Amino acid sequence: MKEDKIKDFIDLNRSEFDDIERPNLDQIWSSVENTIPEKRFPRIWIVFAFFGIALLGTLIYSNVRTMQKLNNLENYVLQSPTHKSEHERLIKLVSDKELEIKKQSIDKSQFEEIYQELEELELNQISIEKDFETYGNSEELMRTLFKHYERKTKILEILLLENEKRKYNEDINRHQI
Amino acid sequence: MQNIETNSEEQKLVLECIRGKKISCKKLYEKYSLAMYHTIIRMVPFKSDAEDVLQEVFIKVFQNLNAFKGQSTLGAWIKRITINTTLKHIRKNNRTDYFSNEDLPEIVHTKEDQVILDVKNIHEAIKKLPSGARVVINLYLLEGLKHKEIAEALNISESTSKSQYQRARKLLQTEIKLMINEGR
Repeated sequence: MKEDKIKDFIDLNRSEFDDIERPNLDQIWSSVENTIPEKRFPRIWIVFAFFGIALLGTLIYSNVRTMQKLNNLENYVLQSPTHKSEHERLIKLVSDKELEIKKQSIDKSQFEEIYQELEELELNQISIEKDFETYGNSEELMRTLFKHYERKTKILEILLLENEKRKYNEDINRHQI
Repeated sequence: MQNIETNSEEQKLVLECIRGKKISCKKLYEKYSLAMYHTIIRMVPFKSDAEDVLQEVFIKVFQNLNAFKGQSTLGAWIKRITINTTLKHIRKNNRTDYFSNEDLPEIVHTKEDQVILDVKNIHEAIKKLPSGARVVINLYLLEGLKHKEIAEALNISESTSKSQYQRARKLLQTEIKLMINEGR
């Protein structure tokens, strides 16, 4: 095989051949840099981001509305000491009656009409709360709300009385048998 | 083990570049640009032309990086782009066939023993060769391509590549000797 001194020499000193001249690499880089494709988000991330923002927006909106609703009611109640005590009294009355009913085993099927009326009252309460959202605080709305609590208390009392009556009659019937 | 680590580092760098992270792009550029420049300057001897080609090479690299599948090393992939871009540049700018016999003047026979070899002299002598000889010498001696690969890159036969190389080598020896004599 024929000797190739140049090839042998280059093979031995190969790395040195890549470090002889110094071009203006920084200047070339600045031209290259401008052509690098911009960072792009995959489409799926854009979709996720969109839904994320929409969800966050809805949560914030609903939270703000709830706070406004509570604020409307509470602010008004707090502004007037009379309203505040009356509000607390009525809410306590309703919750006491509800607790009493819970303790008794009431057969709902025997008092369908009363339970229907209680469902209507629930809808009525939602409607009053909406009115607070729409019209803000007003003396008239507060009175309506108090009347609503009073009515609810009465119906719950009726339910308790009717249930007692029913139990009493059942006992008498049992003794007669 | 070191190769695996290097490959995973390289893959990470490639991924970051694809995602458009400019710091990583610059890191990649700094790692390979000087070696690629020397590949170019040995085939395109004018500095400004070589810098233009280098710029074109790295624009192509960053635009096509997602086509790099890791079948070869990143360096080999960039080197392939560099050689192809440089050959394209030579074809575009040289009116004559860059590897025709017209490129190669008559050989002045010298005794190889009389030639003193030096990295800088060889580098400068390669740059002074006619373009055809320069390309063949560079691809064979410095880029390590086989005659078959050179033949494919230049669209010539393998035997032509071999004969061109022999002629180019003699020319290079003559050129080196001339440079040494001029230096004295």
